[in-house]
Amino acid sequence: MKLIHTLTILLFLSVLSTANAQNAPVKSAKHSYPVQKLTIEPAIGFNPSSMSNVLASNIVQWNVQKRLSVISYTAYAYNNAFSREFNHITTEYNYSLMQKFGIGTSLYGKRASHTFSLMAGIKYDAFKETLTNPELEPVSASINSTSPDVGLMYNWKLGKGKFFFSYRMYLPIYPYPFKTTDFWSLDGNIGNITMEFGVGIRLK
Amino acid sequence: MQFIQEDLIPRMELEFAADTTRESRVIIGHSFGGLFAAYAFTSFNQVFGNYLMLSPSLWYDNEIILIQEQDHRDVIKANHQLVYLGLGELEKSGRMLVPFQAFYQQLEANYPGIALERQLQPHLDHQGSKQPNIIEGLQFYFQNR
Repeated sequence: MKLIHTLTILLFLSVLSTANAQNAPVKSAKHSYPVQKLTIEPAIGFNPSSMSNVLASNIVQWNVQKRLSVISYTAYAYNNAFSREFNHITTEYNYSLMQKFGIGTSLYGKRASHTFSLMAGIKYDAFKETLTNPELEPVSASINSTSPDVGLMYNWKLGKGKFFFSYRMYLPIYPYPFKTTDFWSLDGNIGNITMEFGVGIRLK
Repeated sequence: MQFIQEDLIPRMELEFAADTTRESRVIIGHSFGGLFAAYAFTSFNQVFGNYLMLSPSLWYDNEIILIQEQDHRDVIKANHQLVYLGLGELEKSGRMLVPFQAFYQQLEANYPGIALERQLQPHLDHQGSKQPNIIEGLQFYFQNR
């Protein structure tokens, strides 16, 4: 529950900042970061907890209003990238597909914008391992799993031009606390934290 | 194992009036603890009759436990066995799933009278699957002892 409280406070603070920004005098509007109506942001990234999963992802962000955006996030993760052979165990394939949608709010600086969004969607995991120990019978086992994918995303856009630098971080809030409130299930959340870097393109 | 066998079990039987039969003793372990429970199964099978192995690290030392099971099978298959094997469905580090499956298949194929259960906890990882597997493992034990 502590995590939920922390996230709630962070979200609340971001909303407060947004409200304050709306009340502030517009004395340097021409220098502030432009509102980008529609952007597409391909990126590559990784899971910082294991450092063994690499991702290719894309965000499409539509700013309905200056402070309100709708986001689509699509990703493919190549898991266990650096240890495909281990103790006679071969990883035949191991990947995840993610599709999420979300709504967010943005803060604007002089050269950058910061978007905080709540995302929800599904994650599909598939992996297969084969045991080829010469002293044992060969065995294969595979998993195909579809699970909910809910979390908070922070997206930083740097640069005012048609092309800009894009960084995003995703913090899952599943399986803890939605599937279970067991503290140890947080390893599932932590394992799905992602950090991604890419080049954004302003379409509108 | 020597400490459990020679110090802990006699003391528990003495001070807590615990049942003294092999069939009444349960060993439960998670991760390397699960590996230890599997080691007890293969190499000290006369001590415990019930084994709850949660996310056991059976990849250890080139699957040495699976090889030990093969080597000791003729001796230990005569004993009554209850084995619960639990894992998290999303333990995808490339080492947990297939030795788990191989061990399950070895037990299923070679121990006709065994009370055997295998459980994959949906959407959960190595640590997250521990608590539900403890609960389901104990339920399996109490229903099948």
